[in-house]
Amino acid sequence: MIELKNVSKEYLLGTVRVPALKDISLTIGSGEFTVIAGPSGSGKTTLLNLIGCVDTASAGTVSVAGQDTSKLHETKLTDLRLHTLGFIFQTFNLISVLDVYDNVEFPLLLMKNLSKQERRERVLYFTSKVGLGGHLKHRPGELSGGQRQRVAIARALVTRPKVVLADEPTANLDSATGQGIIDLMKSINGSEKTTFLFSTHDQSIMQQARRVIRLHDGMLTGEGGS
Amino acid sequence: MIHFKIALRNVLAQKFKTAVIGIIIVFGTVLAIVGNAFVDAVSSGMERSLISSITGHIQIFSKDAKEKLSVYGTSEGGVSDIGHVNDFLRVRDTLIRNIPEIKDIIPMGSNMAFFSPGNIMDVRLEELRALLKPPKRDTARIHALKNHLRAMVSDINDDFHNNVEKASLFAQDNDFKNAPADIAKATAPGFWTGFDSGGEQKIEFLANRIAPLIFDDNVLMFHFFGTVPQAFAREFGLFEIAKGSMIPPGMRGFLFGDYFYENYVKHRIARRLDSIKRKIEKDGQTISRSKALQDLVTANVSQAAEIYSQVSPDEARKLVPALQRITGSGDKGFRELVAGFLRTTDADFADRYRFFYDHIAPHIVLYRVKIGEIFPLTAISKSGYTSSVNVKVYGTFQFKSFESSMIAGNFSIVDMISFREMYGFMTAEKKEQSKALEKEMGISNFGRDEMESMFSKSAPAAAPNNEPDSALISKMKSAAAAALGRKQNVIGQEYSKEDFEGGPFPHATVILKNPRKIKHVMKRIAEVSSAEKLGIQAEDWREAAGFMGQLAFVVRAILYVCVIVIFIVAAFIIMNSMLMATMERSREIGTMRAIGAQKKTILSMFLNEAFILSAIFGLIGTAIGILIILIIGHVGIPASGDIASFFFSGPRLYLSVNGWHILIVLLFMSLVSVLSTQYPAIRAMRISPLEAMQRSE
Repeated sequence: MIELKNVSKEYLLGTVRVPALKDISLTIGSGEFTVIAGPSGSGKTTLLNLIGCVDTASAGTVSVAGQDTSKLHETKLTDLRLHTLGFIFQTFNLISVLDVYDNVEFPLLLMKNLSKQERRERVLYFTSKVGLGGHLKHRPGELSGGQRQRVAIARALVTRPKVVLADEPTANLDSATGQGIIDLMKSINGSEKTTFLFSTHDQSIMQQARRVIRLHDGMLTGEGGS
Repeated sequence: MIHFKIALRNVLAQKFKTAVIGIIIVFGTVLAIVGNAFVDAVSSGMERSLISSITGHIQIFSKDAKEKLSVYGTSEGGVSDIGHVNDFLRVRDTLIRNIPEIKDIIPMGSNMAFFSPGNIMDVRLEELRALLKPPKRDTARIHALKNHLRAMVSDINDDFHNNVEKASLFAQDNDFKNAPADIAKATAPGFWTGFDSGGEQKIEFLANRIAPLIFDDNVLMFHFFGTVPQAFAREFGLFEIAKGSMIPPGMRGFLFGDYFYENYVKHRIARRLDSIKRKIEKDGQTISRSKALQDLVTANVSQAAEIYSQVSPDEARKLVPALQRITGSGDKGFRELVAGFLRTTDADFADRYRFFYDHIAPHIVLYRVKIGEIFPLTAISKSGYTSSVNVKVYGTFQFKSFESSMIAGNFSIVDMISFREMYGFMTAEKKEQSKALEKEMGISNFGRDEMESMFSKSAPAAAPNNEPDSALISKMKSAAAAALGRKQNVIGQEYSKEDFEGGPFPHATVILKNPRKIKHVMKRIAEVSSAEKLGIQAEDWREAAGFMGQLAFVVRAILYVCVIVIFIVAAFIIMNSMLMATMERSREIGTMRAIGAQKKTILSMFLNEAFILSAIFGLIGTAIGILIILIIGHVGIPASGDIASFFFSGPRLYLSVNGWHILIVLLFMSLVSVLSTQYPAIRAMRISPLEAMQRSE
């Protein structure tokens, strides 16, 4: 599903080259529930950005669903993000002026080929799946952090992506709420067979992952599983 | 749809930005709509004013004219050098026969005239001269006039001794070298004691030597048109007589434009009082609040001499108690009382205005030329010399609904025969007169020899006509007297329609049955003129009105510049507000991009937002604009001052709604907001999906 070969990423900080990832090679198969673990600054987000096609590698190749992302044009990359990937952000990143229903429907409207009926069915299915069926008319400002992240999960899933990428999805939540989110992701992983790849530095969450990829200073330092 | 929804929600959510942009769009739209309606009203007011007063729909004139015709004169203040066309009747009949759209053609000619009515001493001397003629001898009036003249001479004497500047002017100017002696002679008591004996000579002395010492700006300059008054009145439907009467059919005569008569011929003080009254009554101004009215009062006070120098000492004495009553002043001097009387306030203006016309006006020269009077109209002839004709003033005219328009009311009209005479055309009448003159003198072959024999001391030996010189001279004298008699008779003589309309004309007004056919008729005139060899060309009313015709265009250009400047400013403010909003929303835009929104989706979202803003606020602005137009259309903007009434072509300006303008303004406003959104939208499109990831590591 996802394959990285000798991927490196450097950022320019003024004239100084700062390495963020160094020679990473890894494969993530379909239906996996994988955590990228590591302290702050270890390169977790950079790795997710490369896999999520919102950033490009300085060296090496990143393949998502069999496509070498470095060879894709901007428009194609956007299409790939829309149809193949789902995103869950640390800060939820909902569209503040839209209600729950519209936020979840938004990516479906971008897909353009779905009927109104189909869009409606999908939105209702996923919002009820995340337990927000009763909050469809609420705006993000009217929801708790946990509820917002549930909306974000529904939005990430509604396009039926092959892979959902989540960057520290529980970092802004209390531990009980965070656990609820992880449980939800796990259950969807079980029922929908969606690949989940998320970063965290929370030990308790790492322990619940089936596979843990450890990063330190931009390098793979080990792998494990529960 | 979602783009529209997001855009709409953004518009509602970002209240400050929306308010700023909204106010600008509303303001720009209102200004553009009301401004356009205003310019339309001014423009159509001026168009109506021009077409229905003097230019008609089309003007025709000689094809060989050196300049284009500008009926209101050239920018240098002269009259257009357009030559003339010889046979009006032929031109008129040919055009009307060939072009059915033409309703009528009226011959015209324009020129500048001047007339010096003389100063107050001249006026009073003229009155005295008439009274001294037998048999009527109104001794009381003669006495009063003499006293008035004596007072004027005394004033001149005082001025001469106290005003150093004037004394030195007299000393330097050769024309005034005898002034001191003349003044001394006129102030000597003996000059006045025996005035009645040899009065005529003393009047001549005062008129020739003393009256010129009163300096004033008493020359009237004005623009006039020669035409056929009856045809003019018939074809310009708004024409009406304001004062006096119409020139009778077949008669020669003169009509002042009422606006000009009231504003330039009338006594200055009276004119200012009228103006104050008008502004108080029509515009609701007050002297205490209006600087303009205060200025008028101050001007009247400082020029009080224009009244007291015109009132004879006897009448002044009689007026003193009444003036003391109305001013509540204990002053005994007439001059101080007049100045105090003119220092009017809101509380006493109405009473003083009435008092002025009831008690003071009868003793002053209220109009420098009176209706019914015959006065010498002097103009520049085509050869460049001045030429005068005596004309009778029958009255004044105005154009209904343009009574206070400077455009329509600033010219006067004279009959075409007098115009031709002044302009130097050899009219049929003149030709006949010169023939008659020759016949009476029996000198049909009057040649150089005869002329020489007349003026040389030694009679030529072989004169063809052997009459003695004295007989020839007496014949000439009687013929000249006959000619003079004829000239005087001109006033009462009747003329046929052909006399007025036949013969040469500088230009002519073409009146159409349907004003929309101007272009077509102009084309036809050119065709007919060339086919029938009429030798004429045509101009539409706008060209013929010269700089006046361009004024509406200039006003519109100024408005457009203002609107464009405001729109540019608006565009910058909109752009900045949108740019700030873009920066604030960069995470949201980054998120949209991350979850699969293409760049064009972001662009479309911004364009939707611009469209919503311009639609909502453009419509609000349009509604406010239409409301303002409807209110002004009902109430009208009062023209305060001459400049305003000039542009308004009337006392009030009424606006009307023009659907096309509103549509254009709305489209333009939308274009401005869409264009000013381009840069923020481009910046938004460049926002990377990485923005969504910020703060996560």
